[in-house]
Amino acid sequence: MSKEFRPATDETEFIRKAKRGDREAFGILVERYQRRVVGVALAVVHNPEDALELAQETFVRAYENLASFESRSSFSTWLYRIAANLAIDLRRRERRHSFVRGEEADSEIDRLPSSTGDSFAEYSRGELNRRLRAALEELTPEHRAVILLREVEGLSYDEISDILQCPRGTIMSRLHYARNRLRAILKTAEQN
Amino acid sequence: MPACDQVKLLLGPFDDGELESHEMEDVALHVVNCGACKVALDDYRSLGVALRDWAPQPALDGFTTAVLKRIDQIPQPLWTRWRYYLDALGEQIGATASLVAAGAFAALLTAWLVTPYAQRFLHRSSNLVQVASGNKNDMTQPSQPTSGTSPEGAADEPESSMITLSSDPTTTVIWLPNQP
Repeated sequence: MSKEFRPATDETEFIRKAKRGDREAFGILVERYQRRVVGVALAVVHNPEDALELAQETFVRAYENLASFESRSSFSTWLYRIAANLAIDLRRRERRHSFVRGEEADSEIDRLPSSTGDSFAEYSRGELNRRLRAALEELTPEHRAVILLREVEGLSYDEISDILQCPRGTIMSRLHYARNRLRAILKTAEQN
Repeated sequence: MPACDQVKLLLGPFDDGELESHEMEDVALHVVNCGACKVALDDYRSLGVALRDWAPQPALDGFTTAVLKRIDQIPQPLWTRWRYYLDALGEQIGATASLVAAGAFAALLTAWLVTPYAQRFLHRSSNLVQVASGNKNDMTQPSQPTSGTSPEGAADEPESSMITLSSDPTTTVIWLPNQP
């Protein structure tokens, strides 16, 4: 796997080879996209072990269905979409979390004191991480996926819209809700 | 200037750089003058930083190997293997055909370039050899006209021929046997 990977032209060549059953070429594609695919899965399932397993499954599914990939979208988007679908399916099967609707989050925010100085500064790093994790658990998989894909993976709204296959307006709405909800949870915890 | 209710929906996209330029300007102007929206924007930014700090990074050692191992275990249907074989064969045949075509083209090009020189060389050789059949005396009369002999001199004529020599390779040499 030591081959240097040049984007675009090389990727097309590796995909063509992988379609003919060239494992080494597919291995190079795995090397290139593994971190991002794990990140997308993790954004939805919120569990590193599950994310790794889903990422492996994503690449296996991608290999099995390479013949159906026709370059209408980019290879990376196609992979992320498989990962997101697998992760959302898994999450749906495991769903046991209650969730709060967007309007509730907004009203909670409105009840908060308006200024707290340096945002979330009163938390220690460990405490903030613990609370963040707990706050993320309270979001629906869809809301959590959107905010993590945006904030952690740095994907654009259009990319997220493409991967999750929903309109850009829905992405904006979910992001707004998720941000406000997390903000409300963290602020409330800070007040307490 | 837009109201807070309108702007608060745009604060996230504003921070993400996902608004149109005129919306970016409107939100920026509002935030400068609105304490509550400025706090909200700061919170969003802090939240983003906290999320990036928090995000776990699973170790990926051996990930590719594990994926390829799983792929190896997938039983491939016969038609798939047959398709791979045909694809590979088609590619080889294509490559061979391309090689042959390139070779043929090179050969034609060479022939086209070399032929005039070869012709000139061969012509020169043929001029030197001369097609000289018939009477030796013919060779002694190079100044005779090429179009045969006059009726007056018919008795003295050799049995055949008229050969014109020329250093010019394009000159046509005509040999005319005597008519009985």
